[in-house]
Amino acid sequence: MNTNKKQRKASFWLVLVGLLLLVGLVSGGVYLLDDQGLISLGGEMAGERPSLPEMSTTADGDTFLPPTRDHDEAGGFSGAGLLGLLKTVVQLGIVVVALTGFQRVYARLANRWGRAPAI
Amino acid sequence: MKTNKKFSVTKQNLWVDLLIAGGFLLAAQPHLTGMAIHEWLSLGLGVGFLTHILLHWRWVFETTRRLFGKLAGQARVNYVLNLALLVAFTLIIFSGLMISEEVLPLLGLQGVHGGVWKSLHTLAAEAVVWLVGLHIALHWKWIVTNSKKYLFGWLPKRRQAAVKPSEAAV
Repeated sequence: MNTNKKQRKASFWLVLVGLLLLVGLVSGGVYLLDDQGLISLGGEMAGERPSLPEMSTTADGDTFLPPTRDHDEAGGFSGAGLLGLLKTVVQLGIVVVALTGFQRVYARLANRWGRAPAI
Repeated sequence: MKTNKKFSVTKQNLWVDLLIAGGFLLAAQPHLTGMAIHEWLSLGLGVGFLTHILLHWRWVFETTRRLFGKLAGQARVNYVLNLALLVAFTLIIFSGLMISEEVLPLLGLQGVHGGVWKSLHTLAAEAVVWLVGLHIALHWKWIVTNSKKYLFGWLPKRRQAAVKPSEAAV
C-alpha cells in the first residue's frame, strides 16, 4: 500500500469520527438549548399529538373515536402517501430545472463576456 | 471460453446512485411505506451513502487537500454542498434511530418518542430534499450522459440528419 493510499484510508476514519463528534455536538447543543427553554422544538408537547377527548359525541349523535397511528404505521397506497411522493419529486424537479437553467444562462453570459463559468 | 468483459466504474456508480435515489424517494414517504419499512430502508440507505462516499473517496480526499488552495469553483461549491448533505443525512439517521419504533425495540432498546429528536428529524428531512435536489442538479450533465449511454444505450439512435449537406451537394 503506497503512502497516498494509506493517507486516504487514515483520513476516512478521521472524517467518520469527526462527523460523529459533529452530530453529537449539534444534537447535544439543540437538546441543551431546548432544555433551557432558549428554543422551542416541540418540547412542550414532547412530540405527542394534542389529546382529543376519549369519547365525544358528534352533532349527529355518533360516537367519535380519536384517530390512532395504526394507519401511518401500516403504510399502503393512500392518497396522502402518493401525494407526498409527488411533492418530493416536484421539489427535486424544481431545483434541477432552476439550477440547470441558471447554469445554462450563466454559461452563455460568461461566454459572451469571455469568462469561464465558475458554476 | 472465458470472456473478459470490461468493468465500468461509471456504470457501477450510476447503478449505486440510482438505487440510492430510489431508496431515498421511498424512505422519505413513511405514510406510503409504513414505519417498519421506513426505518429499515433508511438504515439501508445509510449503508448506501457510505458506499457512495467510499466510491468517490479519492475525490473527497483530493478536494479536501486542495480546498483552501487552487481549486475550481464548481468543485468547491460541490464540496460544501456534499458536506451539508453528509451532516444532514447523519442527523436524520441518528435522530431517526433515537425515535425508532421498530429497529431499536428489536435490539432491546427503547427510543424516545417525540421531543427534540423528532423535531430534528423532521427539520433535517425537509432540508435534505432541497440539498439532494441541488446535488442532482449539479451532476445533471453526468446523469443524463451516462443514463443515455448505460441505461438507454439499447434504444435505436435518433437519426441526426436525413441527408448531410455535403452528401446532398454531391
